[in-house]
Amino acid sequence: MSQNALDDSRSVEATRKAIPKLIAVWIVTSLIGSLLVWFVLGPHLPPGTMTDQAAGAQFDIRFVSTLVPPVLFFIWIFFGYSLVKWRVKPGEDPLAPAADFRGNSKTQGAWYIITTVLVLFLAAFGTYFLVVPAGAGGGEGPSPIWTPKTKNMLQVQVIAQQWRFTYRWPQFGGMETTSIYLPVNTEIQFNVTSLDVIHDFWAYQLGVKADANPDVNNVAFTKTQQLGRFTVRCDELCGVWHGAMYNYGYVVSQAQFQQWATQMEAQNAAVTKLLPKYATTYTPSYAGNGGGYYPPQDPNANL
Amino acid sequence: MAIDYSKATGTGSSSGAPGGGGGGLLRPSIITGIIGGVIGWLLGHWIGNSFTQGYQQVQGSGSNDIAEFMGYIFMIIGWFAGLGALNYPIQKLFGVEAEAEEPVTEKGWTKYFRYTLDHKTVGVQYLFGMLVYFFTAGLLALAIRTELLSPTYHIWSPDTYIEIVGEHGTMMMMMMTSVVLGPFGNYVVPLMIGSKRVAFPRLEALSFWFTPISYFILLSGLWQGGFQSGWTGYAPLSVQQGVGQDTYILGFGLQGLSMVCASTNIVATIINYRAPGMSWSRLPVMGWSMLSLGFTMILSIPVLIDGLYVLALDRTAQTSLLYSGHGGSSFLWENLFWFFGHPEVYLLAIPGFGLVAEIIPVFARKPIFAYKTSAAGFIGLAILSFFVWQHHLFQSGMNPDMRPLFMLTTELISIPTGFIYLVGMGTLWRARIRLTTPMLFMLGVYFNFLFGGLTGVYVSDVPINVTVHGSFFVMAHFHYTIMGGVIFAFFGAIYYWTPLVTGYQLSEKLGKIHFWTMIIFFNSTFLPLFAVGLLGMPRRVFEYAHRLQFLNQWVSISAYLLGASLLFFAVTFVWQLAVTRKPTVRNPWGSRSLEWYVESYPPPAYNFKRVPVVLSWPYEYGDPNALPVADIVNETKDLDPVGRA
Amino acid sequence: MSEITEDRPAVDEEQLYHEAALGSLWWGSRISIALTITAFGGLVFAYFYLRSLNSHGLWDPHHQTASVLLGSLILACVLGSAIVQSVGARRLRSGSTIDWLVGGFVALGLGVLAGGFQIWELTRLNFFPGASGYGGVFVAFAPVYSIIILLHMYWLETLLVRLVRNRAVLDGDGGVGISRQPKAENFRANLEGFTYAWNALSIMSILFFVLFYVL
Ligand code: HEM
Ligand SMILES: [Cu+2]
Ligand SMILES: [Cu+2]
Repeated sequence: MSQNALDDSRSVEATRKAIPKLIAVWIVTSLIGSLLVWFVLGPHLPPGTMTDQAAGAQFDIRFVSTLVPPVLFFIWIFFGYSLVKWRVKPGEDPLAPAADFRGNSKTQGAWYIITTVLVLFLAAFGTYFLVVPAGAGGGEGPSPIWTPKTKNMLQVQVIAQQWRFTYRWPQFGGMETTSIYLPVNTEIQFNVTSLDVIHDFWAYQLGVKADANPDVNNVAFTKTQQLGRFTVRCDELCGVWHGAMYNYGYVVSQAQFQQWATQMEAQNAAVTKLLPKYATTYTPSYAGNGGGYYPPQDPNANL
Repeated sequence: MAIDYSKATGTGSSSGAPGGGGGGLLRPSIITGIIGGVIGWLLGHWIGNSFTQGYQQVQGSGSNDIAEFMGYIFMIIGWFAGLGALNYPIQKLFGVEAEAEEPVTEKGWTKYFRYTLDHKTVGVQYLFGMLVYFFTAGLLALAIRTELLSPTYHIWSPDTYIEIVGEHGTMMMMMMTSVVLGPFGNYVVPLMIGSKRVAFPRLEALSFWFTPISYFILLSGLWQGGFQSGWTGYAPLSVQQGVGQDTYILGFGLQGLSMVCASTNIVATIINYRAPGMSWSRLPVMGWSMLSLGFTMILSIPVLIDGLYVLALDRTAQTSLLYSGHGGSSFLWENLFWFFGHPEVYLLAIPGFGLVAEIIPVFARKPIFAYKTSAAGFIGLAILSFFVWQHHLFQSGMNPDMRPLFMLTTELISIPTGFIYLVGMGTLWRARIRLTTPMLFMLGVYFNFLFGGLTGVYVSDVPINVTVHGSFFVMAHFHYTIMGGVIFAFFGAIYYWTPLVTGYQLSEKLGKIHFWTMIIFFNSTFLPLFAVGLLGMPRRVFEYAHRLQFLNQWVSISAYLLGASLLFFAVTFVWQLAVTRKPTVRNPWGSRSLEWYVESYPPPAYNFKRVPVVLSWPYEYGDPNALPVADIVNETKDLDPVGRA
Repeated sequence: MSEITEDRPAVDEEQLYHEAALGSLWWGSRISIALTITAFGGLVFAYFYLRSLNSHGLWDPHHQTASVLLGSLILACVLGSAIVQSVGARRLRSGSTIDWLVGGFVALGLGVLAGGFQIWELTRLNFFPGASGYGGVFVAFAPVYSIIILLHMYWLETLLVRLVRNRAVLDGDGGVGISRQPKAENFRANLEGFTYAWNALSIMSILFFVLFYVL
């Protein structure tokens, strides 16, 4: 009977025969997919290689992306095969029982173990690449615990406010600029803070992202290694003109940078004198913090 | 408590309202609710303004947050008073409440506009309520996509744009929490567990009636200057905003209260009202998902309400909890918000998975694979979701040394998520698969969620998070999980249960057109956004790099087509229910689950003539000799399902 | 009909749903405790978080404290109310309805007093809400605390009037605390749920007192 013939396709034997083939197809497709991702897509993945941190992020994205095809194809092949093979055929009783099993301890066990191992591996991988490249370009709060070995880093303070970024350079007389130039092959410490609401300093090509919180100094490190232009965008919703809060910066040779910085320092000297003292945060504060914007004064003083 | 089928005696006339049963416009309904709301608003607003007498800057100005709050709070009270929801609690105060439950036998369409105690009516109310939410927020999404057609040319002014973004996000996130629990949890779960009623019908009704008013309040933000802080409402931006922000606080807060009521009811119902024989090991997976969902909500939503409340105080009572200059901290909001916010995102996934696991075996003619694993998966998701919230704050500079820990917990969540795939794949193995519309939608969930889950691994990897946080990549990630997951499951469930709920069969052909257009345009809308994000475009911006214009236009056009697909659903759905009305056959999908063995579709008042005794597991599709699921199965097998009550 | 129907075990629906209602009262009250704890949990978190951050040294620069006298009174009322009510409920179980009625009304009075004191205290603070982190947290805490107290008192009041009004029905069979009648059992389940919830809140109140008036 045709009914029996059809049910044969659902027998254990039939599926047992299919499994090695499915696995073969899976291995081949995954291999092709992963190789394509690693070699063809990989080098073009963002955020590029302008800094150590960017290159690290690119490596991470490339690595995780290489793991994607095996997972994707595993599920697709599995679903695809089931749907094609075991779909109700014309003339078949659609409500007749199919196979009767509720679980399979080996499959389940293997699934639990494999997913757990994979996940733990990914967590370890992520931790390693977070800790070793000094926080991987992310905001590390006021007192970072993962820092580069270099002693004299270039200090750049990023001050965000609605709706622009400015930069202060404590090593250049505390001047404040509206543009940003960075020397190549230099370890840089960004000190990110905000004057009003929460913003986020995202220097895409530098592989740097750190929230700019009022009253918090959020430190991020990066090491430049290529010349070029980078984009700075605000990446945390900060109000009406959030979408227009961006500018461009440049990584230039060290000599050019020195020249730019000295010129800026001279040009800004008059303004720099009027600025509040360089400080890690500038929130108006009655306690007298925040670069002295407000005089020490306590709202309860006369209570 | 005795079940009294007769009209309640004593003081409890229908919902005990003054003039109850008297009919006419004054009978409590949505109309009296609106009247009550309007009166309440006028009164509250006046009181608020008189509070602030003498404060020149605020009094009588458009930006008086106190008057705004007072107006809305009184409006809410007036609304519930007008609906008649307050009668019972007030009667209780005087000890004159009717001892028996009120009858739920009301007929006709007007009951859908009343505060009723019938869980099936509430389920239908929820279904349409949530569709209204979904379509409103969907239109807002199209408005966003229209702006993003061009990198520089503007359709909306920047403030309108950002307000639309905030409204869209908040409305969607509010609605998603109840999109499964509201319609299907309330309607179907009591039937599935063989109960004639729910544990707390008043809480359940209350939970629904919170939603129209929270919808209205939130929407009213649009004409009051809106709020620019998005659905995440980060302080201090949210403290700076005008009165539009108050609509966010109240709208979201009311939705929170609604969810607390709904979860309390569903948890108590599942635990206590299971029919004899419905042991824990026979509980449908949908029941397990609702239970995990309920507990998660109960333990996370109060924290959201705290956060919103603190924000409201900062905006009205001159505290400064969210502003560091006076001893507060903007990190406080981020913590309170995400301590709720992360469980919330899993609150969206769990019910979607519950529907998937519930419906797939029916169309596979096989027992669900690894039943216990799926239940464990829900519980695991629920528990773990409380320990990951800082992954939204990886770059915030807050507790940076904790990032490895939160990266670990976040990635661990992939394990219970993976269970759902195990269950689905095992169930399909050697199955007899019917590709009906509901089944297609459930398979669609698996297809879409794969992208959502895999990109979840990207965003939770801190070094990668540096690049993708706050970008369109994250936005695409959560649209894949939420829209691709729970919304697909939701539509599948609509196709699946409409015959039961209405007695009418939906066309398979139209359903399949809807499915295929929706999944194609959904993917074509959101897949490119991963690339857009990776290429450096932040979320919630109205200007972007020229090189991204092509991708953005592609996405916008796909979004319109996706909208058209959903419109197609709306039109055909209403058309088939209102005009063609093709009666369904009994148990059209051949399900073993108890809800299909009621006497008529829609199920009669009190669901079952007598409490069924459950005889077997609902998923015995593979065993032709299995006992029927309950003793009522044989009695109702040959009944004509439609038109009998 | 089929054999299965005939073999059907007799289901006493009345009993079934009676027990389900008792179970729901149990769960409902326990959920209300969970909600109370989480709701205060957010505020207690805010307390510790801001205290530990101490932004600009403004957590509590002048060691201002809301009126300790009123705070102690509130705590005393809440604790007194919980104790009187619990003792009364125990007496009810041993058959003397009237003891619980008296104890219940006393507890109600004390609880309402506590809620009232809390609101009153809020109107006579010796600091501005924005004066310090402590001030903010206190201003946030106090209304929630008084509202939750008053909600519990609403619950107690409904129990009291229910018993007063239905004394004849409930109090048969040796008293509402003993009777095996469904209505009495239901009442007891409700009362037991309330007792747990109110006692839980009174224990939390000790913590709040320590946080806001002692530390
Ligand atoms: C495999 C499991 C998942 C993992 C590992 C994961 C991980 C993450 C992470 C780390 C973020 C933060 C990204 C950032 O802003 O930097 C995130 C964002 C988000 N996820 Fe997931 N997620 C998963 C599944 C889900 C599910 C099931 C949902 C909802 C149904 C969801 C909804 C969201 C939402 C709404 C956001 C963004 C919130 C916002 O910033 O507005 N995710 N996810
Ligand atoms: Cu910004
Ligand atoms: Cu999350």
